[in-house]
Amino acid sequence: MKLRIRFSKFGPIKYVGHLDMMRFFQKAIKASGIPVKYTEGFSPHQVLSFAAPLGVGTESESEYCDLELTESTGIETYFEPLNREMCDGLTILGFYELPEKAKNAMASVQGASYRILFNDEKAISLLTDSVNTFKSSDSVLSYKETKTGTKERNLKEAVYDIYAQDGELYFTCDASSGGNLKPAALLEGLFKPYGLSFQPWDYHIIRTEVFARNEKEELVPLYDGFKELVSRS
Amino acid sequence: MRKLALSDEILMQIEKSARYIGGEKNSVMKDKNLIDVRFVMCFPDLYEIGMSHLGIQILYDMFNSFEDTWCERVYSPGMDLHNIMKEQHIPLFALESQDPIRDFDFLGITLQYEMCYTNILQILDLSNIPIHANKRTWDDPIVIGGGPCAYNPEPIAEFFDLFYIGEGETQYRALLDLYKKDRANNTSREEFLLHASSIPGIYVPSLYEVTYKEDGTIESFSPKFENVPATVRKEIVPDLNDTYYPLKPVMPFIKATQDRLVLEIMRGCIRGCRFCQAGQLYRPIRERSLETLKKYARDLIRNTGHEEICLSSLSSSDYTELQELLLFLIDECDAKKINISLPSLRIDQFSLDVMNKVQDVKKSSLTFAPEAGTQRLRNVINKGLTEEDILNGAHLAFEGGWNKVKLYFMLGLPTETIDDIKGIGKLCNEIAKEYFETVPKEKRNGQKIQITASTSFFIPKPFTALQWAPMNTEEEFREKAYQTRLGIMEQLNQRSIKYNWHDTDVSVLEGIFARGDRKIAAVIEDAYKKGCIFDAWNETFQYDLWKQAFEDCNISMAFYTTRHRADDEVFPWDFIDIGVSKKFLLREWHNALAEKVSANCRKQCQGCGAAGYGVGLYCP
Ligand code: SF4
Repeated sequence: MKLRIRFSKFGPIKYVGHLDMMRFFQKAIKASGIPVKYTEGFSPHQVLSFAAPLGVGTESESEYCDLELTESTGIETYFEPLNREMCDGLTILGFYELPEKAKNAMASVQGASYRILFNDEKAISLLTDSVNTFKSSDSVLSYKETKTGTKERNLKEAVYDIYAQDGELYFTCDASSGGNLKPAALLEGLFKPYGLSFQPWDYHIIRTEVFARNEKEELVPLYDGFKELVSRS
Repeated sequence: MRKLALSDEILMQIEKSARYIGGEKNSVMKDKNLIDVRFVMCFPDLYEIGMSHLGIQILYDMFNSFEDTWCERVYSPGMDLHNIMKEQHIPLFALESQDPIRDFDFLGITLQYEMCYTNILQILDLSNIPIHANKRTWDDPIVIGGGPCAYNPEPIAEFFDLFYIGEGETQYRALLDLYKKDRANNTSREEFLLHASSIPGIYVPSLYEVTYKEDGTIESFSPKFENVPATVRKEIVPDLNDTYYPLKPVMPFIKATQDRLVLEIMRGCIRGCRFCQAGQLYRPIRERSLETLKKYARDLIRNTGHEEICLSSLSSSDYTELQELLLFLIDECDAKKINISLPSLRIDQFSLDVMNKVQDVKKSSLTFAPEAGTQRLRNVINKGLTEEDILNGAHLAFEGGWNKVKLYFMLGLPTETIDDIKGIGKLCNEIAKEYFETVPKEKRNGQKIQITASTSFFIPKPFTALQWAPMNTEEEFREKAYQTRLGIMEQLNQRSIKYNWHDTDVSVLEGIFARGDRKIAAVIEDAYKKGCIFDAWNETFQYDLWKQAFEDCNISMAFYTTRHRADDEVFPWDFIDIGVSKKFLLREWHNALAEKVSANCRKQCQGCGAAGYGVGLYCP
């Protein structure tokens, strides 16, 4: 069977990049004893797929990876063992059973939601205003340098929901493989009219959820619609 | 959640910030208020290099098994962070607690290769610990060095309070107990160091005086005080089945250079190659039992989830139960889906069968280390491998489908002539010929034989039979590498042979440090101040600055490298007793010059002296 694992990542471990997280999980999964499927041949490896790479320095309340297993019963009994293999800051939140034909985590991702905390007083004081301006504009353009020249993108089309609360910014945006919006690009679009620009350490990003689209084309969390085997209460 | 020593601002700017956050699985956290001794273990190179080292993991495991001690780790910050720390006056910190190094009781530095010496100064400098041991107070940790380079600690002696000579598992407990007692009694730092000198294996450089002859060689080396021992005897673990072993090794977040489990199967080597320092330093030979290793392997696999395992020793083919061990590992690893990374084995039917099971024949290669191009020169260095052995092994392997061969040689060995150098090309050619004769054209499936010959430059090391040998000059080295290449190009099958060699600069420095004396310290300090650091890395090694430092300090490089040494010269490291006697080494040096081979420990004991430890597997 296929297993979807939901986990969170907080604290210093946010500095561990995507590839290193994959290596960490491979070892943790192996040590936990989960009956994981391996590829054939001389260097067997696990059939493991992560949903959306998390940037270095970003924390997350909800991350996903998929795993192919050789057994399908009693998988929930590995929930605690896998949690024990985690280190400070990583918590396994839930196990979900996927049907064989389900798309893997990576291919399913369509959106993500973020919460942003600012270190800069000025940014905090301008936040509500900038969000309102963003909402009332027809288009907010962002420019990205690529190999083939500058690419223009209307941020309004990539941001599905946005609001400010208590000096923090919350938004949901496109995270699909073709259109992933980086939080930094949105911040640039929001604050450029005010002449503010940021370094990556001027704010703190927490990803709050990763979404797929259901049959009705609604954004739903990546675990939605799948059988929950076990989760953290 | 642990608080980090570095701000988000810094961590977001530097490369691989996960090097500096600690918190890895199996890293040890303790309550600092409940412990008596804080020890920080340092490998003076980048995190991913240091984390690959088994020795530190063993000591980390040992120290943390002591209830009164908390052992943490620190590595060299990369140059990006180094510069930020210097600019912003951020003190170097330990990974676990993120506390400044200067707050610790002990700073232990492992000395694995000579080219890390400027990085020792980096560690002290960034920690705000005085570089010179005699400037330190109780506000500074006791700085102690250990590892292979501690067997000639003299070039870096003035930077250390203590050296631990030998295997770390045996005397640290006694040292920590003495420290606790002396600190409780308000003993002075000097007094503590004096007391420490009576612990076996502990060398306190400040308690010895060196005088020199007019020609610059050592006249005398003696203790300043009566109760300080004149020689320091190496410590060894008597029984490898009854000692510390890290069964829950710290698991680095970022990929370590060696990202695999390590099973140390034995210490010591029976071979007696005359250029090899490790072969003498770790005598006498001691093995870990098959039962112990099986248990370790199972525990390690269970505790870590690693995907690869390897064996560690100087010459794994000599492990008495190698077949049983490998068959066990193949079974165990097949079931658990773990890769076995094989050590280089003597090529025979058994090792080829094993290789066939765990590697892709098409991708793997055979490895031989003849070290010299002719039998005559191999006799000089006592390398038992003959041309016949190599061709027979290659023949078997070619029949089994292998077609890649790697060969390792040294240039600059004593008595070497142009014939020996040309012999390298000839030997490679013979191997290619063997391939064409063994594998008929129709069976080659479009495959070609690929031979890679690599040469390094011979560096005489302390405690080897060749410690008396002069090293070649840079010009000689370059010329020899060139002649090696010409010799290969003259061969009929030259198109099947690829040749690699290293540059000479680092070898020269390594040669100086290896056999250096106390006068070298000034040069190391000067070079560090001039900007030399990470000398083991090609991209940061600055030979010009080093040469300038030698000039400015008025120290001749040739004195340490190319000079001829008399049989009765007093060497800077003579006060260390590794169990192998200087008399034996001298006899071996004369045997080398006479091209006379000595049998290995298993065939016939050569009376090297290491039998004195009473635990050698083959010692009488
Ligand atoms: S005493 Fe003999 S057997 Fe023991 S290590 Fe020395 S040479 Fe080998």
